[in-house]
Amino acid sequence: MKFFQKILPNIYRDSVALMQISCKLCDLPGISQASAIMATEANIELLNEAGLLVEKMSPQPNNLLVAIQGDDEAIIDVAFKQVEKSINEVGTPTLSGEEQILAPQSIEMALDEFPEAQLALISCPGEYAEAEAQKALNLGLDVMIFSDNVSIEGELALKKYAANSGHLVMGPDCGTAILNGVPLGFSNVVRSGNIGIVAASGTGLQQISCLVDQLGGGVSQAIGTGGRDLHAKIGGLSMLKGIQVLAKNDEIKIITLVSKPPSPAVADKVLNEARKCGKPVVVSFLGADLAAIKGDNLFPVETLEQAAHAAFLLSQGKKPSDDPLPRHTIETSIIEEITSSFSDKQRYVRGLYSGGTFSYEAMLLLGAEIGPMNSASPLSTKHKLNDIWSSTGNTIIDLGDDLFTRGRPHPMIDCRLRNDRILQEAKDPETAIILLDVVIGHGSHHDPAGEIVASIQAARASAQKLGNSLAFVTFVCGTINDPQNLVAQENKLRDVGAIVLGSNAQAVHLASDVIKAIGDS
Amino acid sequence: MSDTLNVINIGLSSFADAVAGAGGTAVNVNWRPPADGNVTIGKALSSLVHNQSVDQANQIAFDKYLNAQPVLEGIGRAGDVLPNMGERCILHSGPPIDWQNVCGPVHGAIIGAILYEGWASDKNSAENLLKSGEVTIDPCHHHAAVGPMAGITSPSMPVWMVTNAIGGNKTFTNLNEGLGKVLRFGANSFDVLERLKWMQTILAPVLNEALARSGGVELKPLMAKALYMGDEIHNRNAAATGLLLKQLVPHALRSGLPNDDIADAIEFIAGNDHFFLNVSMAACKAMLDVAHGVPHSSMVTAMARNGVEFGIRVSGGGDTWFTAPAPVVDGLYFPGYSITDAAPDLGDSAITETAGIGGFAMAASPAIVQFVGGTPSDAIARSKEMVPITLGRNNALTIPALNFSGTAAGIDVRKVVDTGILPLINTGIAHKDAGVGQIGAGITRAPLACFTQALEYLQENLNA
Amino acid sequence: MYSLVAISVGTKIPSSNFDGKIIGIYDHTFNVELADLSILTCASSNYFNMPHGILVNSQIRDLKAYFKTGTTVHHRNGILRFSSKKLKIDLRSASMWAPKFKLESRPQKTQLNILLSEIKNDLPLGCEKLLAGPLSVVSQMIGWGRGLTPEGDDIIAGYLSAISLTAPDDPLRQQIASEIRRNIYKTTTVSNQMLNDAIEGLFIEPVEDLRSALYGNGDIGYASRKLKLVGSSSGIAMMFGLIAGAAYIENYTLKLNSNFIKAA
Repeated sequence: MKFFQKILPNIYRDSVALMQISCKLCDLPGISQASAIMATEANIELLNEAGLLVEKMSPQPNNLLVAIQGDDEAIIDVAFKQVEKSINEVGTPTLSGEEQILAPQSIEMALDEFPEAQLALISCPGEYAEAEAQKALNLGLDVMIFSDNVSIEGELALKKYAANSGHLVMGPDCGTAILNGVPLGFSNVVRSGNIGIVAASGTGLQQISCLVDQLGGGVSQAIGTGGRDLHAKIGGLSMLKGIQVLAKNDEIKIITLVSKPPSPAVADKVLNEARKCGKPVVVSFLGADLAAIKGDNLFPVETLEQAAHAAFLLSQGKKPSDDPLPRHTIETSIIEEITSSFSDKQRYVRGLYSGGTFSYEAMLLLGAEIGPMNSASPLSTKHKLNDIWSSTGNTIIDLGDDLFTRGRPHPMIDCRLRNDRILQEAKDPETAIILLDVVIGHGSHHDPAGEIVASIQAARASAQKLGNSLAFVTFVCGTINDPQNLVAQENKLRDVGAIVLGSNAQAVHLASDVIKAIGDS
Repeated sequence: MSDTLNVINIGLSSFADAVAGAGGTAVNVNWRPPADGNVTIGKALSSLVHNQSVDQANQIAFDKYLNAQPVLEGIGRAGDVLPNMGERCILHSGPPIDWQNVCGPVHGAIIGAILYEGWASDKNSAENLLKSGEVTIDPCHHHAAVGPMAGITSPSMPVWMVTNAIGGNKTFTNLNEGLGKVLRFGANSFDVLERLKWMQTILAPVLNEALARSGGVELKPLMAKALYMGDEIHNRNAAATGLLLKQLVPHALRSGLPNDDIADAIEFIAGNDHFFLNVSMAACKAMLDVAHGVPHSSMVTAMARNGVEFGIRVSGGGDTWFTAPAPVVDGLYFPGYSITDAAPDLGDSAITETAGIGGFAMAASPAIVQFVGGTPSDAIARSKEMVPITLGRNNALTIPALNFSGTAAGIDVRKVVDTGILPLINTGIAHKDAGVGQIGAGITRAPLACFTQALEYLQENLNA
Repeated sequence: MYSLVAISVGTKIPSSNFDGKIIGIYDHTFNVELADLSILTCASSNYFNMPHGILVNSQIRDLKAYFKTGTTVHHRNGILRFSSKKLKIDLRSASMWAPKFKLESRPQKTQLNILLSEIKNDLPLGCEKLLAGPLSVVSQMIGWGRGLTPEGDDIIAGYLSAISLTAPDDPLRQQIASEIRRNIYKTTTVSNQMLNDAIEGLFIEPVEDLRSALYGNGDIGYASRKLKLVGSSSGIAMMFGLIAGAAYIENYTLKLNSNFIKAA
């Protein structure tokens, strides 16, 4: 063990700076103790006690004392050189004029930094979402809660507070919205325009806005309410507010409402609000009795596709046509071709959906035409699948349902769950048609069609082994301006022989016609 | 302005990108679950953010703090001037604690104070006085007083007396003994007690006489000047000590006291760059005490540590201390010492941060900033970091490096919990054993648990 | 961030969220134009209330240190924030300033004459026509003069403060209102708002106070001194309008000796 001590005359450095230098020295290999310190009486005593000073010395407070204890002289020499270097560095000015801006760490802090904010978009884990939403409302912001797992009591408390303070709560579990032409959450790049939507259904909102875009119209405001908003417990508070917001918005000329049928009391409230909003309102309460929706400015429709057409015509100053829309665009000869390729056992449609509202609409439309659909969440409990992981008869499932996604990513983001199911259905000799929705836009998988075509091909191969030929009936919900591009996605599907239709209703109608044709043959 | 959409985004940051891509504007919150993910406290917090009662109460409390004018008025005998102290009580720093549980330095200092008072002649009998309950201990803060490190103040000790000229409230603090073997680090040897006796009999009269002749020293202007001279007035008091000495010397010389006494006193003060620390603390307490007791106010009025627990008091929190285990400071250690030798955080001196100086005014003190292993720009960043958790700025205490803006002051319990930004404290580190003294210094943070408890208290009282 | 607390707000300040931008900064006040083009005036406590006004709890000085013209202003649930991020104004505890007027007495002709004599040397040439009868001159007066609120508009606002004591369907009151609406394009935005408020019966606090003093209880001398101090010439012009209006509804004929009128 070697000791080294040296006075550096007339060098003053702040004690803290010196402590840092000392610490760095101690970190050097082979150095057991080291100190660079002003040689005051107290400090000399300190080093004496530490056993670092071998030579007695008198206090010299204006001089710097370096004392090092190390394995050998070479190591000590390295250490001392470092002291000299560090001491010179300490004097170098490092003050930079750069502003260091602290990223906001709370909503309030963000609002102080960004006082023009109007909306808080909340997608934190559900257990914290209610508190974050409440803070945003307190601070005077509208709120979109993308998160799910907020209790219904929490939802009601937030929506009541919002109703009293004149704010809008979208969600919880509001996956998509468009405000002032800006898409939020999972959303499509839709042309701006004079149509406004208030939807309790995320995919319903996406289907209508995308179809309006394809027809040449535009949607500047699409307000999501969250799926539970029209439950009796919540009473449609967000839908009522949404209608009021759109009624006041001068740019919006047409309002479209989308939901499953609410309870009669909630429906009354919502339709009353719609009747007095002063603008034409297209009402798409999927499965509701259209005759019961009465009002001079109300235009009830059966399907999402009809809603888009009605809203588009109204937005052009035209009356919605009373003529029904074409069921689909596929010629009868092709249907015959498909049915003739089926084996005797192939009789059923298997709808494997990623969008909840699409699956619901499919069950309604197919149920009315070819009989009740079996499902994990059927229209009537009588038709509940015993095992949701295995289809029987005509089956429609929503793979985005919590029942399927528990612990897994949503099928719009991760295609594996559905791809596996496609292969599984292909092995079932009774499967005739596989019905698929493909939802694109911000937030969705960057190439869902690309993922699906691989499994379509694998499914065909697997079916062929059974001597079967499968029909894939699909549609893409999106626009040509979406990152994935509607046309590109459709082409990928067509390239592997899938039939691509313009909407869910068309796809379902085609499936229905094919199933009926099987029965007729 | 319906043609734009301005969004605050909490959660998936890709949503903000989509908004920006579509012509809107979005600001991402660097979000973490508040209160370390405690949903109940998170919910309590959500009812307090933008709460009008709390905001109004804070405005009142903060105005009182801002308007305070602490004046250093004189020196008194602790037992005579401290409210409700009594003659057999020893005061310590931090929140209340049983004498059996105190940390090493505090224990050593209590024994030292008993010996200093002459209540016992040796350590064993001193110990027995504590055991018998004949001598009790109590927090300084419960007697309008503060003390650095162990904070030990016994009845015969001289104390500085500070009065808030606006609120009329008075605060007290003991006199700084210097570095090395000192009572506040638990040393209680003969020379330590001798020094205390000298302070009582020689130093205190000189200071008292000088102060009386000066008519009192206004402390805020002095502290403001010290901030311009590189002090943050917690861990660096070199400038403030000099400024105080400059004001007192002529009055001391004219006092008629023996020249040797005056010379000794001046020499003592000049040799201790921390001499002003205690005065700074009493000044800060005077500014904060007057802001205490506004119902529903979430403004922190004291942060203090007893070497075992860290405690805070809140203006609307009544007499309650909200406590959590005191952290051990990961700072810079003197040669031969490391974190394993350190006592947990200790002392009332965090009253300075509570009042917006110390760690909150780091930008004023580039020399101190190297505790953070940093540069002057880090110091500025640290001071700015405190802005979002405070109620406003103290424009009487400004910092040149921050464009002469006031220090961030008035810690808001709600903002601490909501942002997760914990108040910074510059602190010295005591050896865990009595009497060894200071073994390092560094920067620590007030524990979150103190603030979450205070938040729950405020929320329950608001609904009561 | 510096925080101010508002002590009172006028009835025309929206309680819901709004956005605007600063269009003028003066010694103790600043003006904010909102999206609907209304103008909000925020003033320090030594100023006075007005229908579109916010009074704050301190004497704000050096306003230019906090923001500049063009700085945007955002109201979110009771707090005004500024894009300059240096100031917040909390409106939540502010009381609503809404003067309660009660007719208790009527001014005597001599009282009006005394008031008139106090200001006659400072009146612009031509305003004496108002004393003869209002309708012929309203259209000429709108936008006449200089400043944020041209003197002609101030005179009409003052005049309406007296006339609005009549029943809402009083024909003269209605005619003046329609005359104003027809000519309002001639004047500034600030004046536009003042005249529209005047049609609704809303006036700045010093006008309210003098009107109350004349028709109820109150110190006429004190109220008139305060009114005269408003703006560089606005207060005097409003006071003249009020005197002329009061003379009209009380059926007094007041005369302004034109020798005293300064050249315009």
